[in-house]
Amino acid sequence: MTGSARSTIAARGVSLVEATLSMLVLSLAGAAGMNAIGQAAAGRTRTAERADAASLAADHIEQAFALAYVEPGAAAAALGLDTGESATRSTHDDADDAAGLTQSPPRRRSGAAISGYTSDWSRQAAVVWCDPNAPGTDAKEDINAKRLTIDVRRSGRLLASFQAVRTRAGDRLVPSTATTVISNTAVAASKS
Amino acid sequence: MPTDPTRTQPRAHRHARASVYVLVLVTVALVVGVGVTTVQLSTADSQRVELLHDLHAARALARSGLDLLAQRLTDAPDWRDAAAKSATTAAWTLDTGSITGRIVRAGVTPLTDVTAADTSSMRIGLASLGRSGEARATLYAEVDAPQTPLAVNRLNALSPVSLWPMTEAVGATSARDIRPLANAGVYSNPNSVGGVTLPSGERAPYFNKTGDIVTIAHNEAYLLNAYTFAVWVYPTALRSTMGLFSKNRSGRNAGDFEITLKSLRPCVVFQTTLTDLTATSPTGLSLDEWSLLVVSIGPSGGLRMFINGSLVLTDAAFGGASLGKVLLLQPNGNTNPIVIGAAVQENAGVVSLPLAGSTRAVALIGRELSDAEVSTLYSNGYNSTDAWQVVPGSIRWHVE
Repeated sequence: MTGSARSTIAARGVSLVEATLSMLVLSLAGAAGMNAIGQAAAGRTRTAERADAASLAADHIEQAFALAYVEPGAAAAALGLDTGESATRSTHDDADDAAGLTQSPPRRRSGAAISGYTSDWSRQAAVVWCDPNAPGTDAKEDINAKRLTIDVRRSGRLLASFQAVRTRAGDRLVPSTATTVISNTAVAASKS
Repeated sequence: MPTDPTRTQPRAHRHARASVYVLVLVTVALVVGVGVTTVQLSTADSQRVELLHDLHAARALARSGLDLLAQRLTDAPDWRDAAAKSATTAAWTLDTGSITGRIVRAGVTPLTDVTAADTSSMRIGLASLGRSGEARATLYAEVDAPQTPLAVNRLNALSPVSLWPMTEAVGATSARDIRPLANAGVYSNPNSVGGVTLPSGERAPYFNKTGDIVTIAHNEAYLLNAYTFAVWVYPTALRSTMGLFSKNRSGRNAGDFEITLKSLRPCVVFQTTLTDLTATSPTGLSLDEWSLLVVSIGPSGGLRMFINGSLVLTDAAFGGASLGKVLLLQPNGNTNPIVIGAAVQENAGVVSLPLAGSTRAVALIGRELSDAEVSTLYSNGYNSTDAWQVVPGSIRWHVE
């Protein structure tokens, strides 16, 4: 076969090299695309987990503000459960009753498991006495302030960690559920 | 001469080849586009959730700030003192963010710190700003606080025999006794009257030299064998001895009673023909701060001394039966006047050991007070009926 004949055959379609390269390029692009989609899906799962974790932690904090600072009827009490209380939060009536409480999976105040959360989820509460003038500093005894830390984890990974401070004087404030959302930029703008 | 193959390819073949190239490029472009878009959407979603997370955290911090402000308000028996010193802003830090709390004028936008000129107002605002990451949440509440300084209110609630607020304005000569006895004192030096502006806008005397005193005439109602003396005092100098309160007779051991500050440590001296008692607190008052000093004496508890609501000294000898009828202001001839702001030394009329500082809300209560009463008097506040109250419906959130 002459060279002219081979050229004629090749020119009729796509060469083997071109076909191979095309498939390689398509494969690489496909793999990269699938990887990106996979990463995005995994990221979306992690994002959803973090959103759920934030809600779980915020929910617990919100409820803690609705409770009394100290066991009702007692001037002072040790941190943690008081007489007649249990790990079920419906029995809790003051801000430190949840101290040391770990729920896996997280549960509602009634004690019922929250649907959608498996046993690899956990919500842990820690409460310490702190200085009302420097709430990041622990106190050895009750000086009218308690710092709550709520950690939410999944499979050991920390997804959300919120802190809040309850003070004895805070008992006089209206429960946060009675608040009203307003549009007021003045507060935020001040001293920023 | 060889022929260029492409020139010899049929047109259809060239089109097929080009189509393959285009197909490959378009497919790659689509895949890359989808991938990039997916990643961008995922990133945006992640950022949105991070912001949501931070908003939750900031909201918890802002709510905490309101609690901390409430405690701050409560821990200061007269919060107006802090306002007068422009100490109306507090900053706190937690692991998850920061909090800024402010005591502001109620209902004023933009937020404006209260000043000494504002603090006679009943209503103030508490503003708390929580920050976490990019999120900020603010919480604002208004509270009503009694217009009369709490110090006077709480003392008055104990029905003292006499209560001298000492809040007269410059130029006044009479120190009112707001109890029914109405046994007003007399400022001996007009220059000392109203020398200090109280955060409430009222005044307090400033004693800084001999002769800056208030003299209160003796009254039969002061012939007590159980009593409590209470005073808010603001010392401005550290001296070995400064007179604060005295009711001394002429001559030693004739029935003298005085309270002095020895290097700011309150000291009670009680001298009679039968005994000579001295009790000095191991704890001193704070310089340049208002402190509540309470001395309660009676047969049951002897002497108990409190600084800012805390028991710092007891002395049973002051309640001993040996004192018999010669307890303070006793009916044993001590009809001398009370002097505030100095000590009257052994010879009546010689005023010495002047106080450097201010006093206000001076009260003489005709009985011993319990530890709990003194604590409430100083006031942790939360049990007090005259402390601040939240204005219903005034709590407002803003998150961004």
